[in-house]
Amino acid sequence: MSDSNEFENLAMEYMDQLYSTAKYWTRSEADAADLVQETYLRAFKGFGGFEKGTNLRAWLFRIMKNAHLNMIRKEKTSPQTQDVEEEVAINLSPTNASYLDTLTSKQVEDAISELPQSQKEALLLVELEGFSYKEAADILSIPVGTIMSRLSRARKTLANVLYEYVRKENLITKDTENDKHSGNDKHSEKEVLQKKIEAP
Amino acid sequence: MNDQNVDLNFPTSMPSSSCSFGNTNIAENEMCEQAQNLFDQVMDGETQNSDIVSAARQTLAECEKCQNALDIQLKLRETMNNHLRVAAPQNLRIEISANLKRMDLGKLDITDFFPPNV
Repeated sequence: MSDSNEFENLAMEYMDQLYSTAKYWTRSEADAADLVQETYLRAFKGFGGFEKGTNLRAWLFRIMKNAHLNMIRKEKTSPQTQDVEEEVAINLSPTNASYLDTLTSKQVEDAISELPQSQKEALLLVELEGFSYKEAADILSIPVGTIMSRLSRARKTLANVLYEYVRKENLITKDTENDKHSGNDKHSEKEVLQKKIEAP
Repeated sequence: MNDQNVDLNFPTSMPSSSCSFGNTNIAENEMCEQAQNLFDQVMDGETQNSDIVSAARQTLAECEKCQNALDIQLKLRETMNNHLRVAAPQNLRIEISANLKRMDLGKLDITDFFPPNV
């Protein structure tokens, strides 16, 4: 078996996971594809140094994190890549989970995009990919305690951002319904006004 | 998702609205905050310590706010897994596989794709 066949047999099964994470790290399908490609090629290049029997998935994610850092350094301008722990301003917090039933994929994706990059990375690795705190900490080269605090903030922020989406949507729906109900009245008022203006 | 999910066994009795977790000298919100960190660890499969799991269950039984917060976190996990999973494009698989074979044959090097000084 050739080296590339052996590598593919072991590593290609993680492509969907890498791509899902890359998509939300980069916020672009094209950049995600580039990032995943770079990850696989760099991993293959360094495959000789990979210790067989250890965690290949975590190793691939660590390579992707480094490749992403390189991508950020090259781009430099992209605001979403700034690793700043800025808080998202939220007015209200949810009091029960039922609001999460009505969400669309787009709303969830948008809410993830609103998270600071560092929180997003921690959240996706632990929540979506199921890495342990230790594995996520190794991948991101940060202490376990930092993973825990970022994760905690990310979860709260995400819950609140999604709540804001649903709340605003409900307000818009109510406004639209109110407009519909009062539409005839407004129309007649306008007509009356128009007649008054036009009257000699 | 982590494989080692822990059943927190939601209490069926109506909990009170305040949190009794941890030091009673600190503010209620801060106690709930500490409890939430505990739930996070249990939910993420980071601890199997029976004392900690018991403490989490006890807190849930006594604090409605904590119970709601955990409920939201569990639902959030389900929501993320339902909405955020995407498959890599098929053409990406083909392209990567072809490039790996080219590298294997020595026809291409990693620097052909990603020049070091750019």
